[in-house]
Amino acid sequence: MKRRKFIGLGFATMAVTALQSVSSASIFSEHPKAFMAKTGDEALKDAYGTTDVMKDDKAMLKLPDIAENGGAVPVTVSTSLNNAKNMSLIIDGNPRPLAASWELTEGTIPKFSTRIKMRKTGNVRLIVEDANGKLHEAVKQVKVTVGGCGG
Amino acid sequence: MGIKAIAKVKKDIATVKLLVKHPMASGKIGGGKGDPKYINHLTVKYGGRVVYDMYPTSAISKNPYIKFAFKGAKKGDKITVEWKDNTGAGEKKDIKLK
Repeated sequence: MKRRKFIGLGFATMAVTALQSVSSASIFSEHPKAFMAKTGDEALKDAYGTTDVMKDDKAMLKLPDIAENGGAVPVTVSTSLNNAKNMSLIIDGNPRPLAASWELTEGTIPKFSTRIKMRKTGNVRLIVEDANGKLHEAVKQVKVTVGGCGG
Repeated sequence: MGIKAIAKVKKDIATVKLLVKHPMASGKIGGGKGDPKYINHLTVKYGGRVVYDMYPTSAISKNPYIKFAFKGAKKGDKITVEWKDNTGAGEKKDIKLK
C-alpha cells in the first residue's frame, strides 16, 4: 500500500514539474517587473539594467505607416545577428509599453510575426540583445486612426 | 481556447503559423472592463529542444497570430505548442510537421 502511495506521489510530482517546465529561467521570467513598467525606458532598465542602445541596422522592425485598427497591427521583428540572446518589443504609447519578449534559441530563425494592440500614434521599438550584452534598437512611428487597447 | 496551426517543412526549415484562441484581455489598465487575462508564456518544442520562446502580454491582439521558422526539421515529426496565461490556465497541443 505504502509503495503504491509513494509511486502515486511520484507521478503527481512529475506532473507538477512538467507544468513548471514551460517557465524555464530566462531574463524575462526573472524580471516580470519589466512587463508592468509604465514607460519604455523603465521597462528597459527592469529587463536589461540599462537604457543605452545602439541605433543600427542589426535590429529590424516591419510595421505599417498607418494602422486603421489599433487593435490588430501586424508586426515582424528580426535581427541580422547570428547569436543574439533575446528581443523585446516596446510600444511607447501603451499604458504598459513592454508588449512582448522573445528568448532566442539555437536553430530558430530570429524573425517573428504577430499582431499587436496600439492605443495611440507613437513609436514602436525593437530591442535586440547581442551575445555581448549590448542592446541594438530599431524605431518606427505608427499613426493609429482608431486606438485598440480596450478589452 | 484552442490552438490551430500549420507547420510546413521545406528542405530542413519548418515554417510554423499559429492561431491561439484567447481573449488577451488587458482589463482596466488598457481601458477595458473586467480582470486581465492574457497569455504570458508561449513555447514550441521540437525533439526536446525549445524552438520558440515568447513572453507575450495583453498588448498582443486577441486570438494571437504567431509566425516563425526553425532549422533542422523533418517532415512527419511533431512539435509541441504550449501556453500559459496570467490566471494559471494553459493548453498543450502536438502538431505534425507537413
